[in-house]
Parts: sequence; C-alpha cells; structure tokens
Amino acid sequence: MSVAKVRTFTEPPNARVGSSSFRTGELKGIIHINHRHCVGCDTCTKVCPAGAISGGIGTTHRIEIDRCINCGQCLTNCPFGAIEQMAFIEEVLRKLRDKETLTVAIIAPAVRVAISEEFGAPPGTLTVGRLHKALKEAGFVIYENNFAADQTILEEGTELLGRIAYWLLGLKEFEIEVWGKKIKVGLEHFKHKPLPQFTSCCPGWVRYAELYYPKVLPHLSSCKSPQQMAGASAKTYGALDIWKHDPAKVYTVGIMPCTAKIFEASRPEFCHAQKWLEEHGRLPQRSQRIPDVDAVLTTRDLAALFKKLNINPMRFSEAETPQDFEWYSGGATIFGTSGGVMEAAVRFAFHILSGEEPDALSSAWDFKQVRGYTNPVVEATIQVPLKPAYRELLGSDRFELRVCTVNGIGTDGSHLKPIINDAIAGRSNFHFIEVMTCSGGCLNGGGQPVNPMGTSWIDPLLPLRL
Amino acid sequence: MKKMVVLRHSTPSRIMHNVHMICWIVLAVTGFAVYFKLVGEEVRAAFMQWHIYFAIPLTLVTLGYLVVTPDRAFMFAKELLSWDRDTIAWWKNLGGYPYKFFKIGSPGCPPQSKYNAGQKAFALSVVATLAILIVTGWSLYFVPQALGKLWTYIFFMLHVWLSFLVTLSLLFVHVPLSIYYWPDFKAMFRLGPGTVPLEYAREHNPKWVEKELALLKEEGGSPGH
Ligand code: HEM
Ligand code: SF4
Ligand code: SF4
Ligand code: SF4
Repeated sequence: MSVAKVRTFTEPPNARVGSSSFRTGELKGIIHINHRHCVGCDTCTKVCPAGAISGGIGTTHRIEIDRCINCGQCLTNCPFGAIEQMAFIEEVLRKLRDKETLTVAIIAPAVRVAISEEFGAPPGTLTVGRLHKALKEAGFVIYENNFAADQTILEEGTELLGRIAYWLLGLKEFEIEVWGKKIKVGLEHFKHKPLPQFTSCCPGWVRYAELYYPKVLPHLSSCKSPQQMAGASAKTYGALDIWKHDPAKVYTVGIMPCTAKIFEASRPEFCHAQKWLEEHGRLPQRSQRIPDVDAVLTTRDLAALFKKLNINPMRFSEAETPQDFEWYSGGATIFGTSGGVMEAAVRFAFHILSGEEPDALSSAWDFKQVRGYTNPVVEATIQVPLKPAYRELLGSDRFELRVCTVNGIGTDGSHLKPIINDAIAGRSNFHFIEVMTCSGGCLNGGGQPVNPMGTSWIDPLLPLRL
Repeated sequence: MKKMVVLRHSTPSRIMHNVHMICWIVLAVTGFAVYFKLVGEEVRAAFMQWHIYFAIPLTLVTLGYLVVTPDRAFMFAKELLSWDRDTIAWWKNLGGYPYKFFKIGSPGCPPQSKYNAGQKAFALSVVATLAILIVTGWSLYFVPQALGKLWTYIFFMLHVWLSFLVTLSLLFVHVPLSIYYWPDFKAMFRLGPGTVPLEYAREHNPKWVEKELALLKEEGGSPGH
C-alpha cells in the first residue's frame, strides 16, 4: 500500500559537493519529495521541525535542502508515499560480499523493537538475539550501539557534573568516583561550556542548532553521538585488539531508526579513528578520508537488505550468548525513547552525587517524571541526596537537579524555540535539557518502518489555522 | 380561467440548489484542475484557494438548510427515503426512459411521487457525497496531520473520486434530463415562483399531485394560482 511504502534512491553524483549550508563531504538531499506522487495534502509541512518545506495546499511540495535537518519526519508522515530517502543498501551488499572487508553493524536500540514489523510481527516485538543472528548470517560482526551509548552516558553525565561544579560551585577541579575508581576532572575548559547543557546525540537537533541557533552551540554537550563513538572505537580498539583486522579494511555500518544519522556519518570532522591510527603509526599517512562510520542503513533499509539476502530474522531464536561488543549494561537501551537519554543521565548523576549503587530492579531508580510520552515538553526537578563529600561543598544535604525533555522539536521549532531562547538569554532554570527531533524519540524516527495508521502528531489541534 | 399550477420548488430549496450548483461548478473545476495537474503550479495554488473559498458557502448553505428550515429538510429526506412498490417497479424498465429515447426496453412508467425512483436514487447519492465531501474536505484542510496516514489517504481518495463520479453523473444525466423537463427547469431557475403547471405535474408525478390535493382539500384551499 502506498501509505506504508517508502521509495529509496542511491547517492547522486554531486551529493557531496559543498554548497551553501553544506560543507564538502556532507550529504545533500537525503530526503526528497517525488513530484509525481505529491498531491499537496500539506501533512509534511505541519510535521517539519525546520520549516523546510514549501508549497501550499494542493500544490507540489518541495524541500529546501539548505533548511532541512534530515529528520525524515515528513517522509514517515506522508500519506501518499511521495517522499523518498537516499539509501546505501547496494554499497553495503558489495562490502558484505568482499572477503577482505570486515563489515561491522552498529545497531541502535530503537531498531530492535521495530524491524520485526517489516517481517509481519506486531509493532514493538522485541528482537535482540534474532536480530544479531540475522546480521551475522548476512556477514556482519556486531558492535552494539547500546555499548557505545553506555560510553556516551559516562561522558555526557561527567560533563554535566563538570558544568555544574564549575558554574554553580566555582570549582576548578572535581573528583568523581566511578566503579570504585577516583577520577579527577579538570574544569577550566568549562569556561566555554555554560549551563544548561543540552544533549548532542540527535543529529537532527545538532543541525537545527547549527542552522538556526548557532548561539546555543556552547550549551550542547561536547560528546559525540553513540553512533560516532562506536564507529571510531570499532576502527581502532575493535579492529586492532578484538577482531585483529586491518583497520583500513573495516567497514562500519550504522543501523539506525534515523535518516539524520546518514547525514551525521558524512560530516567531515568524523574521521577520528583515521587520525588516531595515523598518529600512532597504524595507518600510513594518507590523503583519502576514512570516515568513522562508512554508511548508515535505516531500519527499513536493513529489512530491504535482509529480504535481498533471503534472511528473515524472525526465523531465529532469541536466546544468545553475547560476545565482544554485544555486551552492554542495558542502561542506555532507553535512549530510543523520549526522555531516555535524560533518565540515563539522571541515574548517572544520582549515582555519583549520592554515592548510592543503582539497582535495576528498584523503582527508586526509575525517573518517570522525565519521560516524554505524549507531552511536547516535560520539566522535572529531581531531589538528589548528597554524599558527605559533596554535602560540605554545597552546604546542603541535597541537590535539586532541574531537567527538561523536549519531546520532538515541534512544527517549525514550536516546542523547542522558547527553551533555546531562555538558554541563550541566560534565563533558563534547567541544568540539563534533552532534545530529540522526533516526537516520541528515535522509536518514531524517520528511518523506522512506516505504520499506515501512524501519525507523529502529539500537539493539540487548536487553534485552527484559518 | 388561470392556468392551474403547483409549487414544485420552495424558495429555501431553490436557494440551496442554486448555491450548491454554483459552488459545485467552481469546486469541481478548481479541484480537478489541481488533482489532474491541468494547470501550472501558480494557478494550482490560486485554484486551491478558490476551492476553499467556495467550500465555505457550500457548507454554510447546507448547514443553514438543516438548521433554518429543518421541516423542509425533513420532508425532502422523507420523500427521498419513501420507496413504495411503484418506486421499485420503476427500475424494471427505468421508467420507460430508455424506450422513449433509444427504443430500448419497454414503454410505460408506474405512477411516481414528487421525485421518480431514478431521481430519488440520484439525489440520495448526491446528498451522501455532499456530506462526505464536506467532512473529508474540511478534515483534510484543518487536520491532515492528526488523521493518521491511512485515514488521510482514504479521505483524500473518497473526496476526489466520489466528487468525480458524482460530477460525471451530474453532467451526463442530471443536466440533460433537467433540460428535457423544461417546466421543471424553469421552476428552478426563473425569477418568478417555483411552480410547474398542474397538468405537467399530474403527468409526471401523479402520486405527489394526489397527495398535495388531498392535503389542500383538508385545509380548504386551492392548489395554486
Ligand atoms: C464542502 C466542500 C468541500 C471542501 C471543504 C473541500 C476541500 C478540499 C480540500 C481541502 C482539498 C485539498 C485536499 C488536499 O490537497 O489534501 C480538496 C481537494 C479536492 N477537492 Fe474538494 N472540497 C469540497 C468540495 C468539493 C467538491 C464539491 C468537489 C467536486 C466536485 C471537490 C473536488 C476536489 C478535488 C478533485 C480535489 C483534489 C485536488 C488535489 O489534488 O488536491 N471538492 N478539497
Ligand atoms: S505529505 Fe506527501 S503528498 Fe502531502 S504535501 Fe507532503 S509530500 Fe506531498
Ligand atoms: S521534516 Fe525533516 S527531513 Fe523533512 S523537510 Fe523537514 S527537516 Fe527535512
Ligand atoms: S530523534 Fe532520533 S531518530 Fe529523530 S532525528 Fe533525532 S536521532 Fe534521529
């Protein structure tokens, strides 16, 4: 049915030539409206967070790529299947066939609850072991993005505490204890990193900030997204120490619920593995760029790839014995849903500041008040009891951690703009703000299977447009 | 003696019919020109604006008819929905029309009430389509994002293809037949009263005339002047 079908196209020849809002290397036009199929219903305009779609009701709509943040929300919400996505399925298939290449699948948490839909199972069916086995059958080795997201939360949580220590306590150095290890964090560089801290793992939001609110950029966490952390570590630590494979012949594939990740992987600064390998003499100095993540497949693309290879993940059993990068804490699995990054970060901060040990089974460690559900913006204050060392520093026995979850940027930034404006003007009440471009979070990302009944609309219908 | 006439179309009904007609023509021209991309991009944008503007009186007049003259609306609905044996018998040879025009089938027409069976069926389909067009049209205009993809798709397809079917049947059945029934046509469009000659009504709608006369006898008036 056209409602659920998504057409794809391969990378056109000039897609990486720099122009206006694109640097050389960055992919242009990942999301494209097919003029033949657009009937001008205007649904896409209403869900576009960036005001990037032009065209009145009844007329053919167009995406202004210089304004577009590649989130794919227009695509999954177009009732007429008129919006298409750039895909790299053929390229990945070629790499899988090449015996010299080690092809690594970096699988995001939101994929596991969606891919089964493409194979006839009910939405939400959990597919972890089955997905891993299907990927291995296709010829991938696995780097769970859950593992990279664990790293992200350690980094991002530490950064948050660092900003708080520098800006609220006036400290120049801060000591935290993780797994019994005391780590000193230098705080001088936080001079340029004010509060509130915003999350940085959503590439739709990062491009939104770059295009529309460059002043807010110092507020964004300096951590890379899990996908980019995974790519860089797969090509260094993974290649050299775990798989013992020539890093130049490691091909990393992000498998993401997200079309903006396709763009993220193409950003020219993301070749940190190459830099490290060259600096450490593990690669000859070379001019050709080696990206940390070579290609991104959306959940839909992966399903198409499986179908081409005649693999049905639902055929396998869930039980598995994880190896290497298939291990993870599980604390970051909730990154796929609105409020997930926030909840994981709050747990980390709570653990560090209170000195209490997290308990996966205790509801005391659930911070439901930060979850987005169907609210466009959620604000919460978390009372964090302080361990003695911090009590003295703060002169109080608790710290009020004030956080905010933006559950989708909203039509033309409607959810987000007031919050950014407050942050830029120094009026913000929050310490930490999570921004996900897509309402509901990545579960509802632009790369997910298209459910014909679905809509991403969570806003009220009034006031009516007249 | 003055020619006896009978009131065929009341003023509210005529207002409704004629506003509907004008709006429908504009809506059809603009809607199909846009859907089939018969005109350039800019004209399409303007046409869609006109489409919306003309949908407003269409909707208001329909609602107004229901709210201001509910008795008329009720009588109209009752007439369209009362199907007796003669109404059903009409379908056997389509009231003898194919015979009259093309010498196909058999002649003869069972006595019909205010509207014959064909008109009833046609009017019912127009009323249903109108309701669907109003509901789908305004939903598509105001809240496509909230309907969900499937319903937007269904609403859109219903809107386009029902309006297409009904426009075709208006053009090729309703318009030619109404011109053929010239007195009826005049009753609708002339500036004077919406009446037809009694004799004409007796011939085409005997049951209706009987009913009206019976009513008048009760009230002690005359059928018209
Ligand atoms: C009250 C009545 C009506 C309203 C509120 C209405 C509203 C609309 C709207 C909002 C659209 C745009 C749909 C879209 O592009 O998503 C549309 C399209 C259309 N309408 Fe109507 N309409 C009405 C009546 C009619 C009638 C009476 C006809 C025909 C006789 C008609 C024929 C069409 C056609 C063919 C289209 C498709 C144009 C396209 O491709 O966008 N409409 N209408
Ligand atoms: S949602 Fe699809 S059909 Fe509707 S205007 Fe946008 S591209 Fe065109
Ligand atoms: S909805 Fe997202 S992908 Fe579509 S045009 Fe807007 S910013 Fe680009
Ligand atoms: S919310 Fe998730 S799926 Fe949506 S653009 Fe951001 S990272 Fe991608």
